[in-house]
Amino acid sequence: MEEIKNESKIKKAFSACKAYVRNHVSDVASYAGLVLCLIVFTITSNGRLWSNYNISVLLESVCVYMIVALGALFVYSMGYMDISVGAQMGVYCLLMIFIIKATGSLLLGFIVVLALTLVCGAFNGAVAVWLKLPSIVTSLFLMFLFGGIQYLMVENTGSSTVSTDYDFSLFLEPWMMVLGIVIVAVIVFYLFNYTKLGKYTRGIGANELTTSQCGVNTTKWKVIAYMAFGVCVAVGALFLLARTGSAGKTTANSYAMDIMLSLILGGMPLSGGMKSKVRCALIGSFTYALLSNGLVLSGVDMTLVYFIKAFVFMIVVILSCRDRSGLLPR
Amino acid sequence: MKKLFKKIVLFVTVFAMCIGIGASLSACNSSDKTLIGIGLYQDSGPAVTATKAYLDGLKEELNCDFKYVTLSQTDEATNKTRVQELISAGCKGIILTMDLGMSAIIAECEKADVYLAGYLSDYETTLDSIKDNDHFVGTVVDGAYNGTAWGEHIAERVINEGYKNIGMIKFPAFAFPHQIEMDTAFRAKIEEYNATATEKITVQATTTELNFSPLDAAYFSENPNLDAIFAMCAGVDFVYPTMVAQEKTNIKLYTAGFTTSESTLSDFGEGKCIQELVFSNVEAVTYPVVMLLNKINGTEFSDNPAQAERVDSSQIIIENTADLQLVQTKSIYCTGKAEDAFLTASQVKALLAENGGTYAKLVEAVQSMTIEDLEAL
Repeated sequence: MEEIKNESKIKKAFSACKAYVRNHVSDVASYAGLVLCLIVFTITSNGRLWSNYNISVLLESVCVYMIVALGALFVYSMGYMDISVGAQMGVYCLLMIFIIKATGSLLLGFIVVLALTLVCGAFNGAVAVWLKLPSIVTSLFLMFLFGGIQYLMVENTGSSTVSTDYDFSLFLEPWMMVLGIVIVAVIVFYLFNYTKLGKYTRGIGANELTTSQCGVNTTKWKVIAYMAFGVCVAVGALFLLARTGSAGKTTANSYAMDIMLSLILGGMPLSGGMKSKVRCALIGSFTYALLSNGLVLSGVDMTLVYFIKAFVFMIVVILSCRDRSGLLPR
Repeated sequence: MKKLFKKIVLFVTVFAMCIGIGASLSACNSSDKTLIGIGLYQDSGPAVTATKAYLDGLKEELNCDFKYVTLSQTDEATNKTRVQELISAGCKGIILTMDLGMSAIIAECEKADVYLAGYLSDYETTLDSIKDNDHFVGTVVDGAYNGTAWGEHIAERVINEGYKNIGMIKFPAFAFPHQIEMDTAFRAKIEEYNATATEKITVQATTTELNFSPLDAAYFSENPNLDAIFAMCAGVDFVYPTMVAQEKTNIKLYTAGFTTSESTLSDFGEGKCIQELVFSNVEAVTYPVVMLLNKINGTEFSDNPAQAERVDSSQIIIENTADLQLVQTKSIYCTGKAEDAFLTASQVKALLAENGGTYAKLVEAVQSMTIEDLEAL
């Protein structure tokens, strides 16, 4: 009798566990992906992954990805995306360099960039609503616009890159990068979980019509979400610029896709909604940077790195972005 | 809150485990081979294949290993990341083919106590600021630093072969400043000829600049009646395809660059389109390899220069089909076999300071790799 009871308890625990995994497949996949990367690369890199130097290198690249991905959370949780972020960051880096060169003030450069990011955020959010366009179309417009501006800004200097002698060493200190990530993460965590901004953006992602019929001014909150993203883009651009003190025609070009991949690797549902969480940005950006770094440290040929990344990405998407009904989770 | 606490505990445990495993693995697997990182400007092609084949042939004799990454031609941050990855992978020396992001890169090398050298790059923009840096050991140029000689050589060929209307194409000055010297030397030689000639040569007034993209088809309508084109840029890749597409292969092409493509090479030679091909020898990488190994091993040449230097390398200039045939059968660039290299592994080993090598011998070695030297092998 006792044995049968125990057996049924084990069965119950097993099925509860199974149900948990089934309901939290994206959570499990993202955590498992990160842990797997850590274990595999620790072994394949012969432990070099954990050298002091490599940790500081990882931190340098994670810092930018994480700050921008945290901001992107507001946009992606609405089920929207912004593919102009890479081109925008390139122009912001160049703009800061030019302002520093002209005035010697990094603060002024950052303030100008911050103002610009807010304007672009408002444009992305509002114009899409007013013109009834998918948000990706307005961000596509901005991507081409900023891409062109970036090209012209560099071309006019007669060089392939522009640089400044400004001392950015403070921004490359590990404690400064950690501080930057922590401050942005805490603010985003609070805004996303405890304010109307987070609730409404997730609501828009889950069901925009229902959210608006509940009396929420969705246009206003879309604009605010894009502007919040803009602030993080400005901070991210500052840390990116600090890496070399220079920018060129292709600086940050891949960031739009990198951020999207980071969020998806972190378990972010592509359609946004209530399952969007801050940890998607944190885990995803760390996993993404780890993947790039770990593959090279493990001696994988550069020509194979892209294939491996694509393969890992495909597995994570398959695991996390489909539920039992075959629909994208909300 | 409990859930969050559990997650934090789980992560800290996994991290601690990984650090522990990592540290023990690192201690177990420390190899006695010297690892040298190579940052190339492209990830494939005959030059890359030949460079890898040559360096593979040196590994055993020099007791070192090589790790490759591909650099960006337009983004300094990418190049810094690639260098950081090489340092993290355990490289003690790094060879870069690109002068982009050097101030951040040299600072990174100083921080990690890793030495840096250049290969097929003149480090035009940064050499003055880094030549006194203890972590920079010098660079070997893609051919000659000064382009005057080659400009004059092509002008002489054009004059001798009787072409009268010449098109001029080059890369932007910010990337290849010495093509200006080539251009000037070519024009000066032609002007000198025109001063006494009855039938003068016309040279395109303003040289067309290609921004690392193929020649625009409109070039031929803007410059009609051309007899020949002097493409100082890599014309085989950027000019010839447009000539083929526009059916303008009746125009003669004098250019730098090389290809192993049979279809392109079949249009080389007397009576054909392509009249001259030039490429730098991959064996020029011997210079940075030897300089780095000396530094890593704590040795120095008796005649070591006080500052890091920029050294010219000899190039293979192919002017006729006999030269081409020789290159196709005997040059490592075409065969991809280490045994076809100008220098054997033991010859390179002998160039090291610890084996009695001198700086003068090393420089002489990278400057003795012409078509005549290839024929004599």
